[in-house]
Amino acid sequence: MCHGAGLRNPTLSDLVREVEFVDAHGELRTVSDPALLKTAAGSFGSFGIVTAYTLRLDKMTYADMRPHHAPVELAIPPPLEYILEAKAGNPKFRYIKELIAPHSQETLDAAYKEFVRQAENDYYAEWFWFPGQRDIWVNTWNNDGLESLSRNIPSDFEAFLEWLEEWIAEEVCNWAVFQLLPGESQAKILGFLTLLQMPNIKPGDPSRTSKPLRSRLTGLVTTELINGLHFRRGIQNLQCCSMHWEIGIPAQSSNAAKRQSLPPPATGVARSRSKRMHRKRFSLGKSSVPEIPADLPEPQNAPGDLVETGEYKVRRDWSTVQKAWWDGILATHAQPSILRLAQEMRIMSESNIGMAPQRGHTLGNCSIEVLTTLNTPREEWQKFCQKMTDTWLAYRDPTTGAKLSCRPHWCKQWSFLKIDNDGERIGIIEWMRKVAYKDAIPEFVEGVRKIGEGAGFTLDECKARFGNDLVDSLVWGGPVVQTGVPPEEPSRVIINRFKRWLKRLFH
Amino acid sequence: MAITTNGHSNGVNGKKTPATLSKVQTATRQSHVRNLSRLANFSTQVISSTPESAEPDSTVDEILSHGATTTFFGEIIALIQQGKLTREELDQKLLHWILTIPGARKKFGRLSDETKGFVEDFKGADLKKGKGVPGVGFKRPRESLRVHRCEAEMKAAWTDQVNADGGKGYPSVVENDGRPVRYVNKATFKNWGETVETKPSVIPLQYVVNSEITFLPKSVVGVQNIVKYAKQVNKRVRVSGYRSASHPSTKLTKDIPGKTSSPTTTIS
Repeated sequence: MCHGAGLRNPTLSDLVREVEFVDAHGELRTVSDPALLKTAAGSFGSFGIVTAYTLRLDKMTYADMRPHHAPVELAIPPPLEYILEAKAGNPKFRYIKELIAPHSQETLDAAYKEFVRQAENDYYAEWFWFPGQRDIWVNTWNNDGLESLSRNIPSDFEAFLEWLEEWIAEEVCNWAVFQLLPGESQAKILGFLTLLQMPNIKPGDPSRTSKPLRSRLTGLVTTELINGLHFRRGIQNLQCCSMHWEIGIPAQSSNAAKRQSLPPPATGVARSRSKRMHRKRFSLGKSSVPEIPADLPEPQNAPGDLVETGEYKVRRDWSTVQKAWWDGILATHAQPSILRLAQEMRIMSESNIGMAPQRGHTLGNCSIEVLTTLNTPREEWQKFCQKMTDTWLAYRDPTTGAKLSCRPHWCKQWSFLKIDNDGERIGIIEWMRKVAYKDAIPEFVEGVRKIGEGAGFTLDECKARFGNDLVDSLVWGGPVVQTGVPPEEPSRVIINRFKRWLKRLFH
Repeated sequence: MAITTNGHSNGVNGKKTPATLSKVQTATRQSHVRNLSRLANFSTQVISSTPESAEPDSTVDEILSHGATTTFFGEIIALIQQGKLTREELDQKLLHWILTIPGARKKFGRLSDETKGFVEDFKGADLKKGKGVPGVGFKRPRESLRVHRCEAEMKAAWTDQVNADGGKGYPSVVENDGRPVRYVNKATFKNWGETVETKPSVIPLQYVVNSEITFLPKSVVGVQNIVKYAKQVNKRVRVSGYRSASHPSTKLTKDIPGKTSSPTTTIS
């Protein structure tokens, strides 16, 4: 159920058309019923060992890629709320004030419009911030390139450079002396060198064809879409710690737009799932027309497409996305030793897979991730992750005031987190059962039961053959076992203790 | 590097070095730290070292690399500020620099001859004139990736298992060609992000010894036979991967809730 990028693109699991698996009796089975695939395509191995997926792919198209560096305050401008706070002198936003000081409001507005244009219209949309850097790397593109101009990327030489850079980075990270450096220094060195190595196609770059090797590798690239789908080959092999949240993008709310877009009191039977979900989101019980908070700032003069949700048209509230991005940057700025690799963000579509974290995010999904090296002291990293989780999960729908739907990426770090639930701090698995996947889990279990009915195995047999702590507690209703994290490498523990001793000695 | 009470220092590999030499190493490394910190503010004096430099010769190399590194970072920062450095030129300079570091040089030596060939070609290439441009036919080397190191460890463990019991300890667990599915005993699984560590549970007195089995199947039939075997001995099966996964779905469970003993077998 991994994220993709681009508002039209769902998860990889949404492309699955058939699942082949070994069931609890050791028999080979397949599932291709679309209703059952919502369970089978994202199942944590709970009912069998998957041996093959069949995916439905689009016809090949060609990506016109023009990745570039852009100033951090313009690539994704801070939300208006934060700009106003910064101008009012709020010390929490002093960094934003410094960044936006040279720019006029027109420049910031134009930057915001460009960001929204990229997020809403580009086929693929991702942004990277490397710690301590003034620029971010923007990689949004469309798949309307010409086949005649397409070239295979990376070329052999580019693949070699990517491998070499990754090898050097890994060796640097594993050096005892580099590990002895203050975390902030490690972050800045890695961030500086990484950003340098990312392509930067400047406006007006005339080339649309592959250049001779001796020139800079910054030419505009047209390539088969599949080559453009991840920003860098092999980077997933650089060991890191990572936390990643999927945040549902809410609808924009304005005094005028609210009156237009709010539904009448819910009556009758919903005609479609989207309408039912819209009514569910906007209905508040006795009164379906919420009061407009008096102190709610007017939204920025926002572009963005009108999106139909049932009977009403709304615009996406991109300020939530801006806040998520900038809260990460501000948290890192306040604690510069903690994030040593990158903050990444992608905009993508919702998912129809039952247990996908993007499920139900009808207007789109903000996938935001923070990554650091294994040299970051584990306890500090977990505290930072908890802090960011608390921040991102506190966002509210601008219209209803309800908390936004947010769920962690299954394959990243989340098991140690605690979530604030109605004033009570509970473990994340308990929160998933009670809140985040409250409806999805019973649907999932029913889906597995139906798959088993067709294949000749029972739920108990699945539990007996393929369970573990996570699956038992999350899906099968077993006791919640808060999974701990194994101890850090002894050498890193020694180095971190030595650094703390040095710090005490000299401060 | 730990300093013992008798004044000797133990290097990473446990070798002792004379006290004076360790003082030189300590002083050098402290200056490395100070100077690399300055790099964070784009200063020019940078030194680096590696944890493998415990031998006396490498201390001299460390000091010599200090001078090379100082020059190197001064140059690249100046070129970057003037906008005169391309990505491949930066990588070439980084390569020259990192190979002055004793420990990195040693690790480079462990790469395959083919990969080393590409690196040497690139190191010597005249990028401005476009001569000797390397990379044609380059394939990512397998041995430098952690996942392939894990595979190599598992293969070595399988070889040990064959030496121990002939590799036929589980006669019903075979691949599609009838050969036994490879298995290793007492392997600890650690995931890629080092956030999950787990071991298979014990199958008491399986054949000769208590077994904590990890299977390494190569075919779907092999997977099927593993599950059938697990059913036979009332075990659970989880699939362990080495790629990018940080969450506990790969973790094994010691006991099935409500039962006294139903530990887990893994497939790797």
